[in-house]
Amino acid sequence: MRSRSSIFAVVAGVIFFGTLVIFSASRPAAFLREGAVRLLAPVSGLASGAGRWLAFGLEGLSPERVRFLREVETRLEAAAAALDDVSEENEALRRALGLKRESGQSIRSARVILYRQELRNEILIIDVGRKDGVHEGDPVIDEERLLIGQISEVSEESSKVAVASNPGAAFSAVLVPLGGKILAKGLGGRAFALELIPMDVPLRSGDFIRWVRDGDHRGQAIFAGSVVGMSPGVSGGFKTGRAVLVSHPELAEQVLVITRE
Amino acid sequence: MKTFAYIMPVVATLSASFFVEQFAAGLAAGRVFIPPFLLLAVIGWFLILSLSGRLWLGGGAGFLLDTISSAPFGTYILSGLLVAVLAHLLDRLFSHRDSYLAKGAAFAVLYVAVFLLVPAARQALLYIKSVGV
Repeated sequence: MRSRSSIFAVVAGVIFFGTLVIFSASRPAAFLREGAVRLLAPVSGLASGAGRWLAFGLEGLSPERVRFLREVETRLEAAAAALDDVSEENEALRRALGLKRESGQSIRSARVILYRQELRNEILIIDVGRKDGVHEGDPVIDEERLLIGQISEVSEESSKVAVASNPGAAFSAVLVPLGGKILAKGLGGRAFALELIPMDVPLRSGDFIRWVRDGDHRGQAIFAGSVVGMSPGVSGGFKTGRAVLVSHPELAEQVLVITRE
Repeated sequence: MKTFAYIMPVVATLSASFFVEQFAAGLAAGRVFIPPFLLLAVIGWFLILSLSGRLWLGGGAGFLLDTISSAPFGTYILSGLLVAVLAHLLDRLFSHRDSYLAKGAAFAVLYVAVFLLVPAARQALLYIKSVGV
């Protein structure tokens, strides 16, 4: 016969976790979630930092040298395809803080608390939340103005960033430099499916795709992916293609959130 | 009180597996598949604990995974509770066979169950959220 205490423990567990799920938006539940993030953040930071340190050590280069080389490589590729009306960039992170755009948007810097990869999904947890003016759907970029993803969940003091290439993610984009409004859909594994490509727009490997906010195709020059090829066949009068994410979410320590005012 | 004696080993094991998972992500994320060490540790403990221990472990581990996952909150909690119940049923089914093969089979069943239940729970919660319940 099962003891009374074990029956009580079972019932208490089911009630507790059931209540937590049903009332997940309540303040106590939000408090517990924030506490869990704070608890896991230092462990994650220590572990992932150790992993990155070892990775750089195995490559025979210092972390700073490898990071610099990757930044130079990405910058050179992006500069080759940049548009004439792209504004000049602030390289230092502190000059980007509080930057007010003419369109009414502002940029908020954030520290990456945790990076997690689960199957084909990747997420970041950052240390800005609702109290900092962050909303769901706000794009998140790295210091090189490369798209990392969008805010998928916001709590009071932290937010989750879903990487742009996660399955189910989609955004409007423009081909660079040839132009052409397209749709980029995440496939997971840092890959995008490019859809709704007009038949008269050539798709070349090495070109880039630029993220655009819906309805604003002149928007910021935020590069999201690099085209790797065209899919065979057409779909409904449009071409389809493939691209890969150009940013490195796993290496991000500081990111920028483009918030709405 | 037997379950309480497992608290420290469970916490230590899950902490270590989380550390290893994050270390592997920092070492090779984006280039290779990172095994879900935390999930494997939880399933391992499911084979040892009693029903109440399994439920609290499944719910607690699910809560931690929900806070750092892209899935709707509650996905891993629900999945953890269901897998805990499944582990209990498997334990009763294989209780007369205390062999490594039986435990291995139960481990494999639970591992597969997680990958079936998590997407199902995710879709269920998304549907519930969409209808505004």
